[in-house]
Formats: sequence, C-alpha cells, structure tokens
Amino acid sequence: MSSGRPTVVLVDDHRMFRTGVRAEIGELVDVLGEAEDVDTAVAAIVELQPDVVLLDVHLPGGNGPEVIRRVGDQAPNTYYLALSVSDAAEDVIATIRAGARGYVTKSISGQELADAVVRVAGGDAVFSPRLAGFVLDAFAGSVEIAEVDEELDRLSPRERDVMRLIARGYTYREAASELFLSIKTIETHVSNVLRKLQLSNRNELARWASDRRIV
Amino acid sequence: MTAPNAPAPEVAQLRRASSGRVLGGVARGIANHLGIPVIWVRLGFVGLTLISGAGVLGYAILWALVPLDDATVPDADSKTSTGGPSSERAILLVLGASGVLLGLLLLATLAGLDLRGFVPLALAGAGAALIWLRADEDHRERLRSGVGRVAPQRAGILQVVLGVGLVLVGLIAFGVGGVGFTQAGTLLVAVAVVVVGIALVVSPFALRLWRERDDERRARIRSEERAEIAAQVHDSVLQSLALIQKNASDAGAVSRIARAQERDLRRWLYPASGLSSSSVRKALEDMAAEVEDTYGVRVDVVCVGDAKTSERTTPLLHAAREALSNAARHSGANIVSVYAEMDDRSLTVHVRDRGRGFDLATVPPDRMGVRESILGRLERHGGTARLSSDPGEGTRIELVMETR
Repeated sequence: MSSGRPTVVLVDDHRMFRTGVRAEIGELVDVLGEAEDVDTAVAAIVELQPDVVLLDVHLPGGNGPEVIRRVGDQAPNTYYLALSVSDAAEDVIATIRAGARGYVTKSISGQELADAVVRVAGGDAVFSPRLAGFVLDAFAGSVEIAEVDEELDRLSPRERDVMRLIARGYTYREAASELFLSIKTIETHVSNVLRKLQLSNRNELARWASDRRIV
Repeated sequence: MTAPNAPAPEVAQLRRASSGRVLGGVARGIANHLGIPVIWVRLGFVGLTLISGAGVLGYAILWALVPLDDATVPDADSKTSTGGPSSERAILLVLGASGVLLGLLLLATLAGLDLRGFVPLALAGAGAALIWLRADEDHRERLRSGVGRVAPQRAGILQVVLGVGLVLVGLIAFGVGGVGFTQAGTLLVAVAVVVVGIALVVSPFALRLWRERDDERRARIRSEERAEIAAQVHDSVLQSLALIQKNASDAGAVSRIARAQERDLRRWLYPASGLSSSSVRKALEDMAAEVEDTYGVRVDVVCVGDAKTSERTTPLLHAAREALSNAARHSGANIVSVYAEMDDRSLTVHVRDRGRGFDLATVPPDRMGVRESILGRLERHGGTARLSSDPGEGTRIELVMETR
C-alpha cells in the first residue's frame, strides 16, 4: 500500500453482496476487481496483485482456504482477510490456518471493514470478537502448564488479556487504553496470537479442532 | 503451476451394457470398459468355453455380480428397441444354443466319446439361463419404466416355466441316468442335486430382491433428508420472508424478523456440539435471542468454555438478563456485546454497549434496576459486580461468581 489507499480484490459468490461491499468501502479503498468462484479468484489475484483479498469462506468449486493455497507464492505481497456469513468454528480456524490475516463476519459495518482492510494491508491481524473467543477456547487452560508447553503452544498472560478484551467487543484503541499499552503493542500481541494459531500444533488445539470436525 | 482445472478422470466402474447386447450385456460391458471391439470379447468367451466350459462359467459369474448400467437404460433402448432380447428371442436363443450343443454332443458320441453324463447338465444349465435372463429382463424393464412393478407378460411367464422345467428335467436325468439312485450312498448326491436345482432357480430372484432392498433404502434416506430440509425451510425461511413482505414499510420489524430468522437458521446449520439444556452457554444464547426479539437490537454473544447451570449461576444469569435488557432499552445502541468465560470454578459475564451511558450517582435511589437487580443481587449471593459507565461512552458491566 505504497500509494495511500490499499488495493482490494473482492471474492464472493453473491453479486448483490459484492455490490454492497463495493458501495460501502469503495470510497476508502481501491477495489481492483471481483471474483465469484475459486478459479476466477485465483486468476484475478495473480493478475491484479492486490494488497488485500476480501475472501468469502464458502465458494463454488471449493472454499477460501483453497484459494489461498492455490495462489501460493504467485502473489507474494497479498494479504487475505476472510469475510464470511459463517460463524462456524471449523470455517474460521481452517481459513486462519490456511494463512488469512484475519476473519470478520458479514454483519460488520462499512467503516469497520475499511479499517480492517487497512490494518491487514499493513501486515497486522484482525480479530472479530468471535474469533477471539475461539482462540481463548482453543488455547484454554495453558497457563498452568506453561513450563511443559512450547512457546507457540500457549498464550502469554498479556495476549490472553488482549484476546479477552477483543472478545468483549473492544476496539484495539479501547483495549490499549484499558491495559495502559500503546496501540502498536496491542497489534504486536494480536499478530503473535495469529501466528500461534497458524503454527501451533498444540494438543489442546488439535483436540478442540477435532471436536468441531476441523482438519 | 497453472490451475489444475481438469477434474480427475473418473474411474469407470465395470457395468453390464443395456444396449447392443445379446444375452446379459456382459461382453458389451467389458468391451465398453476396456475400449476394444465387442467381437474380441465374445470370441474370448467362446474360446474360453472350449477349455472345459470356463467361458460359460465366467460369463455366468460376471452376469450375476456386475451391476446393470442403469444410466443408459431409459434413452438407450426403450425407444429404438434395438437392444435386448425379448422373451421370445431369449427362448429361441437358448433353445437354439441347446440344439447346437446337442448336435455337437451327438457328433462327439459318434466319434466315440462318451458324454452322456454331460447332457442333463447342459439341459439344467439352459433352464437356469432362461430363468436368469427373465429376472434380468424384469430388472431392466423396471428401470426403464421408472418405478414400480411391471405386469408380467405371458411370454415372460412361459420363459420362467420353461426354465424351471428344463432344470428339473436335466436334474432328474442326471440323477436317474448319470449316477443312478440305486447305488448305496447316492442319497447324498440326490440331495445335493436338489439343493443345486433350487439354488439355480431361486438365486436370481433372491439376488434381485437383495439389490432392490438396498436401492430402496438409499432412496428412502435421500427423500427423508429432502423432506426434513423442505420442512425446515418452509417453517422458518418462507414464513419469515412472507412476514417481511407484509411488514415491508416497517424497517424495525423487518430487521427484527430477519435477525430472528438468521439466528434460527444458524442454530440449525451450525449446531453447537453437545449443548445441553442446562448449559450456561445455552441459557445466555436464549436470553440474547429473547432480548433481540423484544427490543430489536442486535446482541452478540461470545462464550469461552461452558458450565452447567446451578443455584450458583442462576443469580448471575438473572443479573445478566437485567443488564442486557437495560442496555437494550436505555442505551440507544443498536449492538450489545455479551462475553462469558466459564470453567468449573467460576463464571464471568461482561455486558457492554456503546450507547449514551449514564452516571450512577444521578440515578434516583428508588430505581431498582441497576442497584438491586444487578449489583445487589450478585453481592447477596456472594458474587461481585462492577459497573462503569461514562456519558457518551457506553456502559460496561462485569459480573463474577465463584461456582463451587
């Protein structure tokens, strides 16, 4: 996003929804193109090289994680933000583990969505309250057994505090002032949590995921 | 790496052909499967038959085991009727083959070979072939006509009767002429002969019954699933859409109906695993739904962990409900967030809105809501409640209860 507004490709199989999102955030970001299924999405992303892909989780011919995998390193500077109507844990976690930098639901307001796009374009992570709740659930109870766990497999007390506030509906700014931290520090914590969510092979996470039929 | 677009080549299952067949469609099916001219397959079967009849045996086994290619049935041969043998043709075919066989046997006998024991077996085999052909033809016709039973035709009945007769004659001839019942210990042979006879006659029908039952079961499961989905859509989505059309001018009502419908559908599509009626999570979600329906605001609930409701959690849930409806009624915010964290030791619930907020000091002392129903209630039961609210910033309420 060297030239101000981040560039975006919209991937969703409902044209009405794409039109709506374009109208809501079109003033704040540059929408380069749209796609409606896995194949057109991969082609559009590789061709347009956007800063951010707004990615629906369920698509004809596959799903969001598949788009991320198929583009692979053909769009090295592109970040993904999942935008879905699904609140199901398996969808959320599968998309994050495929490499998305965040997950928001379609009920988000236009302003919030534009903020989220800017944040993701800058390399930060975006957590909806529900995603933060999933994270706390998945990493539950790891504080007491800290000494046996790898660093990747648990949340630090600070990260846990940040996740709690986000789960309660706080913005990054509100969380920063509540915890007497800078916004930059909050962003670092959130990015670390995202990395752990993507890389951890913690037993708890695996079991929690299998309970909810996540691969 | 370009898009691996092409679908993986479908591994075709070997199926008996429905059109372009002479008997059971086995040779045509194999030819189609391997992509070679059918004449080679047929010659192969004939050639194998010269080796102690292995070709006939192999054909019979494949006939029994390889399913019919039902996909090509309806359009392939019902109209053009170039396909399978009718009953008359089948009878002629088998009788003709038997005649040729008998002629060959006669020749062989004339040439000095003793093949008398073989004749009855050939007769029984021809009879069995007739019955199998008939059973197979019934199956085809059922597929062709879609569903239900096909009225038996006279030629079909004749074919089965003829088949049973041939089997009987063959077996009796085998028993009397070939081995002879007079010899000691041949009772066993007789029994075996009868059993084989019955098996030959009955097995095609038994096999068909078994296959049908399987197909019917699958179809029933499919239609039950469909009916359930249709019922769900009808009871919920269609009703809501009708309500929305009726209330199209009332934006508040429309969004309330849509929200309630969304919640309902979500619960059906993504059922939370193992949520019992006595779970705190469920209680909170029900409470949120009720407030949404009553006040038309959106309530987002995020839960971490779960716990069973008990006399320790009930006061907190009551206080939470009060906090929630206060927020919905007075704050002016259109979203209220509920966050709950629980394990087997404690339960914490946060309720927050971004509405207009208030100053607790200015609330008149006779107002029961906040002081009594929320703060007082929790403290009486040994929990803690904290409230912070700034005018213009919204209200945050934290409720904590040790649960053991």
